[in-house]
Amino acid sequence: MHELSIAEEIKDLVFDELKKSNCKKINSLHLIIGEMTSIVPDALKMAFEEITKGTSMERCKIFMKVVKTKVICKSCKKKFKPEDLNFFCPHCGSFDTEVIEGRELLIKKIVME
Amino acid sequence: MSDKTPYIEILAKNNKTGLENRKMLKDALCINIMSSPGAGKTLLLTQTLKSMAKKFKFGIVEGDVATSNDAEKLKKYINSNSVYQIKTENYGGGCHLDAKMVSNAFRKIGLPKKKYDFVIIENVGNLICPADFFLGEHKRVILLSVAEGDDKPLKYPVIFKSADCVVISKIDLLKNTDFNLKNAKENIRRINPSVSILTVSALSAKGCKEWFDFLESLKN
Repeated sequence: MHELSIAEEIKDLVFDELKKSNCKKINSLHLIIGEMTSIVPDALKMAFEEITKGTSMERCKIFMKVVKTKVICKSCKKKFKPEDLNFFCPHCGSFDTEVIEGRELLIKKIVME
Repeated sequence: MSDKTPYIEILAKNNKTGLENRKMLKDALCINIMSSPGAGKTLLLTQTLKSMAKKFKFGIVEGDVATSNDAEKLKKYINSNSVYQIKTENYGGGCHLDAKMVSNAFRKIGLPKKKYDFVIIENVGNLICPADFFLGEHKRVILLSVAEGDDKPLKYPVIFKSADCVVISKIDLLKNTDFNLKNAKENIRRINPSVSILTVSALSAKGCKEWFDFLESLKN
């Protein structure tokens, strides 16, 4: 349940952005969540709603885009999405691969008014 | 209405604190040990201190939800000021350590003034949450105990992917289980092809020598 810690981080970051602006409330929040962060979107949403009750973020809409893991094979240079996060290359069988997408944990957009 | 499009890294603050922690370490090598609860992290550390603490200076940061049991066990082998127990219940009951908790723990064991060869962080027993939080460590060691089954790496690939070394622990139990060592190693390599794999029983001390040699080799 590290979603609660992540929600706390997001809350602090969004408050900082709100303070810097002339706005008073947050309408929506757009997040990018990589599959390899093991974050459960519903759990993150629930944690965020709970800790922002009574704040200028209450009832803010949360949109999450989950990014599937993408890997590049260093041997044949082909890119693939690993099944069940098994990282060997399905094209040439090499185990020499590198994760290029799926570790993201980003706030893409904050909509305030 | 205002649209901010900053692409903010959510864990940036944690990662920055992690890098500050690393600076506090100076020449000490920091290892973050992770596993599911009960895989034998503390017993492996006990054997490590018993064997290596005469030659090297160790600092230990223990992480658990509650109790100081593990820190108390290890204080028998090194100066008690070099061991600190983080109880995550004091931080809202977290299932993992974060860089801020570790920063505080580092100060408690005398960093950055005190000189250590190794600083070992024993994370909270959990194969999911700790993987996301950089603490300042140089290396990550994951324990996989024989009692857990040889397919564990496939079930929790993210944390095994992040490992520099996987220690298969409790190998004294091999004869009592259907754990297949060959399959376990293959499963680890599927997730993390270049990782070092060691097999250890901290109870019987079998394989411990290789673990000590591995630790020492990291210092060279």
